[in-house]
Amino acid sequence: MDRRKFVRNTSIASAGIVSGMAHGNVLTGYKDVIIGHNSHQYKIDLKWGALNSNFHPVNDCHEMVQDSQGRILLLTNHTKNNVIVYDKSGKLLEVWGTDYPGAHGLTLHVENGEDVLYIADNNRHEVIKTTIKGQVLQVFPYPKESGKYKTKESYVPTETAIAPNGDVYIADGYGEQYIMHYSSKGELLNVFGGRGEEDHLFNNAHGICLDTRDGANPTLLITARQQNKLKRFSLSGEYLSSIDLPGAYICRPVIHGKDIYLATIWSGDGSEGTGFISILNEKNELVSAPGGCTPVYEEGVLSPMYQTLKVFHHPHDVCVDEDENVYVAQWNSGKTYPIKLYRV
Amino acid sequence: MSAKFPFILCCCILVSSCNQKEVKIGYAASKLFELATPQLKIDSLLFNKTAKLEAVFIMEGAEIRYTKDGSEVSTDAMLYENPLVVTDASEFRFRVFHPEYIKSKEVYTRLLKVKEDVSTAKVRLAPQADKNYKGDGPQALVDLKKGTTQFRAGNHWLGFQGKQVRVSLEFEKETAISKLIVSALNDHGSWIFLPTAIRVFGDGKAEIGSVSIPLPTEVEVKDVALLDVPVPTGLYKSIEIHIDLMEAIPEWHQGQGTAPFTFIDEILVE
Repeated sequence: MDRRKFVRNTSIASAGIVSGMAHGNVLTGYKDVIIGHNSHQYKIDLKWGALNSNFHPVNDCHEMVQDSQGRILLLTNHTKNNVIVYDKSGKLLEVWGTDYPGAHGLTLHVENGEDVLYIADNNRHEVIKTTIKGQVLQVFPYPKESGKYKTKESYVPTETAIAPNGDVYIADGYGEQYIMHYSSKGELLNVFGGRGEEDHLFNNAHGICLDTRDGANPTLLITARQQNKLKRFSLSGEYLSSIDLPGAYICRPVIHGKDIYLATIWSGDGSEGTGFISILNEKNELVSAPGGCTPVYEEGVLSPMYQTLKVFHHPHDVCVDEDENVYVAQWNSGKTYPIKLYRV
Repeated sequence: MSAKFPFILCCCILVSSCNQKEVKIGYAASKLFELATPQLKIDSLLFNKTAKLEAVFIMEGAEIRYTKDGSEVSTDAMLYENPLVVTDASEFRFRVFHPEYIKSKEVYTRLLKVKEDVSTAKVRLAPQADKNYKGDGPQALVDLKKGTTQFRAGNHWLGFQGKQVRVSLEFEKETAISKLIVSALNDHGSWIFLPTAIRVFGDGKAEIGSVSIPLPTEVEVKDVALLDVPVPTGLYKSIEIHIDLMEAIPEWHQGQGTAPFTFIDEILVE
């Protein structure tokens, strides 16, 4: 029997073969698509940043940041050009980096007026600090001194966050789920988190950032992706609270103005080919889900989220520029370049 | 002055059109995008009297339609408005439509009414389930509690690797059987694949039924598959089920060559 027919006939809940995100061009009835809800709605440029893959290939497009010059930096785990630098229109400016096979997390920090980058490499099992041009400044190797790891391989850092005083927090999102707290000089000051379902523990601590929206009281926001939660911790590692986002397998939180943006790599029951973008307001409520269903709160609880339109294929990170436009990097999407969303 | 005017006008149009070209952005059209499938909420895939089936898709302008007769869901199919109460074993197909987007794929669901309660049968497994996926033990295979595609939720799923798993069911009394249904998880993203074949042996160890499952050729949507094995209708005191497992992940998958898992949550008897 034909396999597809067989599965269709036998399945309890199937939906055919996973399709790509875009389909044949239909010019009749042309209308620009607008995705998102409430205050955050967007038109889509699918071709932003597309390059000749023979010269500038990508594998997974993992993360993106905007530097002080307004340029958009993309981190990919293709070692021909780990960092691809664009202007906001998607024009290629420069590329660098051939030493980051597991390039995953990209965090930009301004130190003494200079942009520096922190690259979490989950293949090298360490975090590398570089100049904006790619010159290596410092390496945060696997934290043997923490006593939490028997081997280097069990430490798989995914993201870095930098505190106002220069302290560095590293999330071991694909390893043992600990958060490492270093001084700017690389001295290990504290370890918290770890694997588990309790409030202060993580199942896939994939992303971390400084929430500086309350300027007098900065805190850490850390993703517990498999738990569909964003967890807030003090800078000293005490668990404070959680934001529940059922059905949203969120990647790192990105603070922009009063809002939190999160690429959501899977959604619903976590099926292949799903995902959308989550946008939370200053009250940490989901106000817009481009590519996802309309967010509904019942008695203060968010109803489970899911994908409604196949725009994205596993979004992995977002970068928001000063025009409120959003750049979306995607994982395992068929080596596609980022998508740009124009706010309307 | 008048002779120069057309020239200046042309220059203005040229400059204007060049500027427009520089800032022109190719926004994607709505007709390019396909709707996702509706979310199904089912209180019990296995039920004694009734089950409630709910289809959800919160998107302005979208409508859900469905069929109950196995036919394709078209724009003429029944409009879903309220949760459905199911009283008999049924198959449903759902699909989402929206005037601006490509219709969704169909989502299919099959609800089973419990015909024979064999939850008291003694279950033996060889080999035992993988230590990380033992579920609630061998008896979970006849407890009439179904797992979902979220296999980590609950203890319904038993995971196996290797060549074959043999499940023997010893009933309290002779039981009339015409069909066995093996419920298995198909989740390629988690490296979980369906078995390749199932053979059923009766009391006398003679083979009484079998089914072969075609190998997948591409990534399929995650689902729970009900694998029917018809057997000659008769009374059986015990049966043994040989479930052949896929030994290596196919070459089109990122895990090619490595051993996949097979997950089973229930064996039903009709």
